[in-house]
Amino acid sequence: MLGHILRRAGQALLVAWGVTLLAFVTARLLPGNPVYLMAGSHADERTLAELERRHGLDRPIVVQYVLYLRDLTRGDWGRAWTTSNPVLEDIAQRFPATLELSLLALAVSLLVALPLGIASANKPGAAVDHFTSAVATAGAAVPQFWLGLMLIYVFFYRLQWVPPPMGRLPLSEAPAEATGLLLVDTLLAGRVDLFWLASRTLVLPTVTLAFAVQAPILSLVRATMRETLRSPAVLAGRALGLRSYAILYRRALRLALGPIASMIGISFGYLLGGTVLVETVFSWPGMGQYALSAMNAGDYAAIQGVVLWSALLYVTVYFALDTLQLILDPRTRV
Amino acid sequence: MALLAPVLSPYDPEGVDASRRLLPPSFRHLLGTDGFGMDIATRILFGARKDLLLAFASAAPALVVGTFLGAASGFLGGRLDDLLQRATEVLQAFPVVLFAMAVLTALGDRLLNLILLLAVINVPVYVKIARSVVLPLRSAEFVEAARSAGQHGLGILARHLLPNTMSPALAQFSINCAWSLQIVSGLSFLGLGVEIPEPEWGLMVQQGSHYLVTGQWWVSFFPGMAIVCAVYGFQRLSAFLRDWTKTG
Repeated sequence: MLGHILRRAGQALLVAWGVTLLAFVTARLLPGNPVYLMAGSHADERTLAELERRHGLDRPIVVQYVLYLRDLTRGDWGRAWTTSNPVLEDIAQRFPATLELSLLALAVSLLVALPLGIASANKPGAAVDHFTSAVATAGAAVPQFWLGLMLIYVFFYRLQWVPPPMGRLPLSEAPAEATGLLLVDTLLAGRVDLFWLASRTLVLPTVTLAFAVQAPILSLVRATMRETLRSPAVLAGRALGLRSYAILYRRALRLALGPIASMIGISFGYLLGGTVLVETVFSWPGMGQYALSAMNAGDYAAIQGVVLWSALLYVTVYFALDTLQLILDPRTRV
Repeated sequence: MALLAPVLSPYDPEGVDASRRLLPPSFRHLLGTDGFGMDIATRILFGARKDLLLAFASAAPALVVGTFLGAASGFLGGRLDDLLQRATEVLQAFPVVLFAMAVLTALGDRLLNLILLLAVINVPVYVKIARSVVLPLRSAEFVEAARSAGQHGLGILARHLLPNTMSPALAQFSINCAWSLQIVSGLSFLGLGVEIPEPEWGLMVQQGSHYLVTGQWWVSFFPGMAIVCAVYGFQRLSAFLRDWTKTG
């Protein structure tokens, strides 16, 4: 058991190392001097020379990579010249906004996808089934940025049900920061009024993201549940006269949980790095917005930091789910 | 439809006319006009050329390289296989849009770079598919037969194994086109890749976004619908290809 986990951990570390290698390669093997990218286009000669020495760019490429790794592990991810803060600090400040949005979107999409997927697998060809496949197809076909805009048009401009798409609750009104997740922080501070304000700003971006994320989950739940409903364990349950909801939720769902769990991991990883478009549409002050403004200013250190952060996070989330599955499902221990 | 764009449409896709700004849909302008007075229907038709071409261009190299690598990896196994598996995992860990933003910031915001990048990101899917097809066939009878007939490993791979990967790979190709289209339009929505006033759907949605809060919904709505239809079309095509190759 422990051996299995260690082996997966080894694989995850290997992938994480590959991630840093790829990030390094894209940053350094590019045409042009990397210090220009690091310092931005407005830096003068002295700064450039200083940067070159400090980052050891006059040394062989392998040494450079080792130095780069050392900097990364020390928490020195470079400085974003657009904000003149260390990149990691900037990320830490903006990450909660993205995390809150991602968690909510994942929760909503699960709330939709699980029951719908199960219901449709249980009655193939029925109205529920057709509805489900329509929802899944639409979720996969509709571009997020467009859906977000259309929701803004209908629910803000036409119906005025939601506040303008101007991002989160302003920081000046936000309560003392405990977790950075405004829904949690406002409740901790006992400010129910602010909690409602914060959730109103969250509704549309969450729905937009969830609509896209539910699609692959829904398709997978439907497919795996259909398969497990034909499995011996379920057929035996039927023969023994178990009631159908008991079969559905106790036996079939448990059997199907493995693939569903890893899909949830993938979706979550996707969300953490894939909110750029929705954040742009709703002026949401998260990592995506940060990356976008960094990109427009040519601030490479910042954007590289965001990419690296999301990729490493993805590897971590995926590994955690893998491990959980190893513990829960003995069949995966091969 | 996309090919016939110049014939079908009476207007210039980049023709600016200040007197016709933001006209709602009518018989003269079927889908209305945008903030520069350009006819939206015309721009959607011309945009179709650009978007579909970009989608094909970025999915096709991945199809070729990916299936070959995957088949080779499944056939040969061993070190190469391990290495490729890890490499694809690394590539999949990167969030696509962010990664594209970073690479385009570093390499320069050019369409060719965008196409190459999407092609690279698309490779792992085909590696996986081709590998899963080839792996169980590695010791199949027809492969053994070819081998005992003295055929070279690479020959077996090319002549006997690769054709087997074609039907799932083609179905995936269509899905990939849809996916690339979404990424391309998403990136140009963010201002990457295509430049104003070129007709491209994502960019058109972006231009229209300023007018939504003042009520001119058609500027964004129709280009977005075009993306939806194209993506849906690719999905249907994929399903069709899958069924067709299965029976055929």
